[in-house]
Amino acid sequence: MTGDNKDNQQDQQKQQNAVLNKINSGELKMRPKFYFVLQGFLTAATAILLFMISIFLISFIFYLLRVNNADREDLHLFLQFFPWILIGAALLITIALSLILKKYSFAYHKPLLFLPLGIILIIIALSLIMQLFAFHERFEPLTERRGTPLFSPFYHSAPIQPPRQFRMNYYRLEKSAFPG
Amino acid sequence: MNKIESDESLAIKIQAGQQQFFSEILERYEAKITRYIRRFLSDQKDAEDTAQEVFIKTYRNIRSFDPERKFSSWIYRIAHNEAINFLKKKKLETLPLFDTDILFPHLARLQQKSETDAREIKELMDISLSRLDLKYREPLVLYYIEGFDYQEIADILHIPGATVGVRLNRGRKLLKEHYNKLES
Repeated sequence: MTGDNKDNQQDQQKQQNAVLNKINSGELKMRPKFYFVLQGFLTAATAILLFMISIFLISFIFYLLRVNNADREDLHLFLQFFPWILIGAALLITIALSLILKKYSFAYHKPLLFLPLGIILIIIALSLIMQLFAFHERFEPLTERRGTPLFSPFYHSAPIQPPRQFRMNYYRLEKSAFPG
Repeated sequence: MNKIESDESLAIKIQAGQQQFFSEILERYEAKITRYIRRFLSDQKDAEDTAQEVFIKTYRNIRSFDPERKFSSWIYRIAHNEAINFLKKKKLETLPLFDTDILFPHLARLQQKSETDAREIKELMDISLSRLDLKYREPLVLYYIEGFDYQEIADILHIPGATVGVRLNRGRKLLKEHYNKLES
């Protein structure tokens, strides 16, 4: 046996003993199964919550687009009332969701883009189904009546275009106020 | 003759509280894990400390191990994470967060490892492995030195199996290029 090999073996033995000593002295303990079950439960709960929030946001965006639909020919106004912040928030949530799920084998065995794309497709599909059942049209009056602190401000601060006749009047007034 | 117990069944016993079986795990993996980490950390002392941390984390988290899966892939995943964290902390090397070969699907040919090819690559690795990027070095080490297959490497590195194939192919090419440069 060469001197180097002997040294390496001694080092390894020392290292093994150091770990075993920590275990035997009670300094190093196994985490209980419950810890990992709870961790898995919290991860799943966070993922489901984020998923539901993003479905709510995207379906709300569809709802806003439908409400503002009549005036889509006015591009400037359409862009002005387009819910950019909501789109940004939904995107951020999708990224967070992808980061949470990417440690699972069903996610990392596929190319990295598949996960966010899959999430976006599922969210859009479910949002369209909600839109089909007019979820927000039914939910908004309900929050109005009950004054739910979480949802009422959401509907109130929604970027909804003013009705066309008011806009025309305002436009005329503006024109007449500054002739020429 | 006694049948050698699998890593997975040892892990089940440890999970059940028979901690004395952890010494067998240490016996089986101590040299392998230190050798693996040594491919990324040039300092022997750093490699040994990191390996020790790997075994501490293995023991601490062993109840999260699913015995339906391979224990070797699981412990090498911990070793990979520890080595990467060490390199990050010391600002030595990092793996790119986004890489085109993970982002997009590839149709990598799964090459069979022939004896001569494996011997040649191992020789080239001894000479110029340290010149390769970490993202190519790791799959090469896991495939040619540690003997894992594509699927197991995918589980250790958390990348798609096709990406493992792409990185192995590129890694082999780069190794040969580095070697040719050294020759000329």
